[in-house]
Amino acid sequence: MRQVLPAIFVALLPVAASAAPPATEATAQAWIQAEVFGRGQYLETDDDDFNEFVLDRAEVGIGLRRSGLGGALLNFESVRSATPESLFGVDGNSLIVRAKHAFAFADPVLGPGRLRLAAGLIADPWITTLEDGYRLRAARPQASESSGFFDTSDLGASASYALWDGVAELTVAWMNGEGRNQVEQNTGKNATVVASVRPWKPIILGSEATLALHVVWRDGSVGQGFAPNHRLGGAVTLTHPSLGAGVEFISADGTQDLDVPAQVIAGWVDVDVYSHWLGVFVAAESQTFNTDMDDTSRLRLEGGLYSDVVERTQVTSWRHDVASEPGLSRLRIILHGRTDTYGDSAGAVVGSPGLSDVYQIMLTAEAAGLVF
Amino acid sequence: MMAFRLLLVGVLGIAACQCQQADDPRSAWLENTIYEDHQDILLREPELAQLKFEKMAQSPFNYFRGSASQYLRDVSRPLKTRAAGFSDATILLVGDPHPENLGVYRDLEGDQSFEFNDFDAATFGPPEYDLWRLVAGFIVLESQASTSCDLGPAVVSGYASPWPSVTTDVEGTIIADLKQRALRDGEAREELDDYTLVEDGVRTLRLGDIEAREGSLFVDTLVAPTPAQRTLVQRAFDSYLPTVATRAQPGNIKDIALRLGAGVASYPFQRFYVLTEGPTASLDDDIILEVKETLSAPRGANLPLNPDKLWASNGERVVDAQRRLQSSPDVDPLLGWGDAGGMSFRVHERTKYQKGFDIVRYQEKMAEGDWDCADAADFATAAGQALAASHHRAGFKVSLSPAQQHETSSFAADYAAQALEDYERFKQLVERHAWSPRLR
Repeated sequence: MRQVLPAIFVALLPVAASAAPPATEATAQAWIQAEVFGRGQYLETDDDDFNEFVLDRAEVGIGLRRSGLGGALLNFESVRSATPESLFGVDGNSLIVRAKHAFAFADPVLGPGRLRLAAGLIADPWITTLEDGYRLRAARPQASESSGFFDTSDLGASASYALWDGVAELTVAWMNGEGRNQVEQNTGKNATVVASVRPWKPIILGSEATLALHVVWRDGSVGQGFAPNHRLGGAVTLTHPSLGAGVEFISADGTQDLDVPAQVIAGWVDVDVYSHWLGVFVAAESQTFNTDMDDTSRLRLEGGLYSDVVERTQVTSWRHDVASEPGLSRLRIILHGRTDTYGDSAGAVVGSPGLSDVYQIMLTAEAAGLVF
Repeated sequence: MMAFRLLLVGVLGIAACQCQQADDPRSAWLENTIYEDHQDILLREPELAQLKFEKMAQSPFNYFRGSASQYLRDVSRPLKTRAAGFSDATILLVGDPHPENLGVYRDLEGDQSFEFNDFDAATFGPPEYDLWRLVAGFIVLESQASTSCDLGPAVVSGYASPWPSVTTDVEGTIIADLKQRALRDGEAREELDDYTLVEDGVRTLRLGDIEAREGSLFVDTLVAPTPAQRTLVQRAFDSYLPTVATRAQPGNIKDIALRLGAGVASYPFQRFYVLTEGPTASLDDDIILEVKETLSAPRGANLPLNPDKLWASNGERVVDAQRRLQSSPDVDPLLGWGDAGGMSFRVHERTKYQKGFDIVRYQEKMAEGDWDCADAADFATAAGQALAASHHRAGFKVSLSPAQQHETSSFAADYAAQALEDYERFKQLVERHAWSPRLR
């Protein structure tokens, strides 16, 4: 099997290159995009409190594409240099820059759909699928990502085929399985399959909404000990320029630091209630760290208000042609709160949830745009 | 439709994939987490890292000493081997309390005290983490020594004894033995005899095996440092001098050597002996300093706040924790830290006035009948009291009900059993060279 997928990709590449007629007149584009989420937050537990400024995300990306053929994407992100398990990294615990995505892709129109091939440090297909049209990334990453069940990107290759403008889409990916912060630790590879259908695109408030159903399956191993690394999940999402909603569920067998089964279920709703000036969102997420035991869940409740000082316009994505003009394409301020409450057996010490329960108030600024 | 057909082939191929996975998830977890913990050391000091694994595989207690990170992962996450806590507190922890991290000190006034002596893993967390580990350590000790003195409850009982508990309440034979030998060897300046030699009126460090190697394992060896290491130590020494908190001060450096063979968890870390001038120009009061690399402490999961921003380096963390958690900040008079070359070091005097509990001596004395279970229980109780005293200094007032004491003892027994099972897994991993360098 390990030889099958590379063979498929190798076989596909020349096919894609030779058989892909451009959908429209071929245009070449190059862009630089930037995105920053920064926040100030106050945290409180039963035992202590704390306040700090945090840089959640600072990204800059360089993209190249030629319509109907493909291109390349190179995304850099900031990250604290110390690992979660250590106190000190580069010069204390400095913010440093690392590669988040670095891949080449081909995306020819082929038959009734579009084929997408990517290789390199590629975006995780499940996270990419969930984030398509998701409007709350600055306030809350999707539960699949925040739970640690999926990493944003990994080294490998993927192929997807989207029929009829995405009404049905199938993606297969073959990756190291260690995520973007680690080299390959074993000779096994992680195989991921994501299938989506978008059967209904109603007009709501004058704009098209998209209802989508997604499923994901992953098989593989992690670490040099070949620890199991399975995922099975699904999601239903509704995307629209002025609102969003969804639920997701992931069952995980084996995670980075645990040899136990775990799961997460989450849902969210966000609505612009007064043009782009005022919106509201709520979200709930229950992560069970060990489904074989009782009271091992963490319940996370979130909610807040947001205001788009600069209304969002379509920001470019490697999956679509560039649609924005250069300039600031979003400036959003979010005032939000979050509570994490742990089951009796879920926290740092059994029966002492006060050690782990957290109450947070955050003011987040999100800015994104194209440089050119 | 060619692309669709090819994708279908890919999906079916993946569905048929029997990706290689471990048969024993716990063994895979052990292999993965030990690799994570040692990744940098495996790259930097591959031979010493392998020797550390060999040393851990020598005995259950050595494995226990080298696996504090696995312990912390286990107790802070929802696995079946967990016990209910007895506090809602987050305090400064000793981090890795176990029998061999206990010993005696002598301060500048000549007073001896019984203390924890290793704070490399000091961090913030709930006090239960320290207590469970200390109790489990005594149970593993008993397993290795083949004794049945029921030391776990003795530790808990010592920990729970009403404040003010002082560590000399229950001194007993074993601590008295430590103090007496420390006084004898310290006054004889045995460390100078062991580690130095005098030629032509000049004292230098004695290079070579101070104690014979056990196979390929260093036990006590001094080797000449590289020029880069010598510069590193000199710079660390310069930054260390202002951090000494007592009136004691070492003089100029006379000699430097790389020390190999010490510790279990810290076996592959950089550790230097530095011979310095003493208070006078006489050769007899020369001082040996130990300059030991410090790395980050293992941390528990799901502890949300991060008060460890108190410190600017790991050396400062370890030294600050020692000063706060020992009976007095000047128990270790030449204690300090130094940073150089992106590394951080704990520095203190290598003096025989400081002597740690040794499991081999314990086994011998118990086997020979010189010590008995009552002596062992006294020592265990004193260890519990020493931990309670440290926690009290960290701001936690110990109070355990009888039911909590019982649960603590039984959980620690369960965890010790887990550690002994893991030791068997670990030996198998070492036998198949799980962490050997591989071609990339």
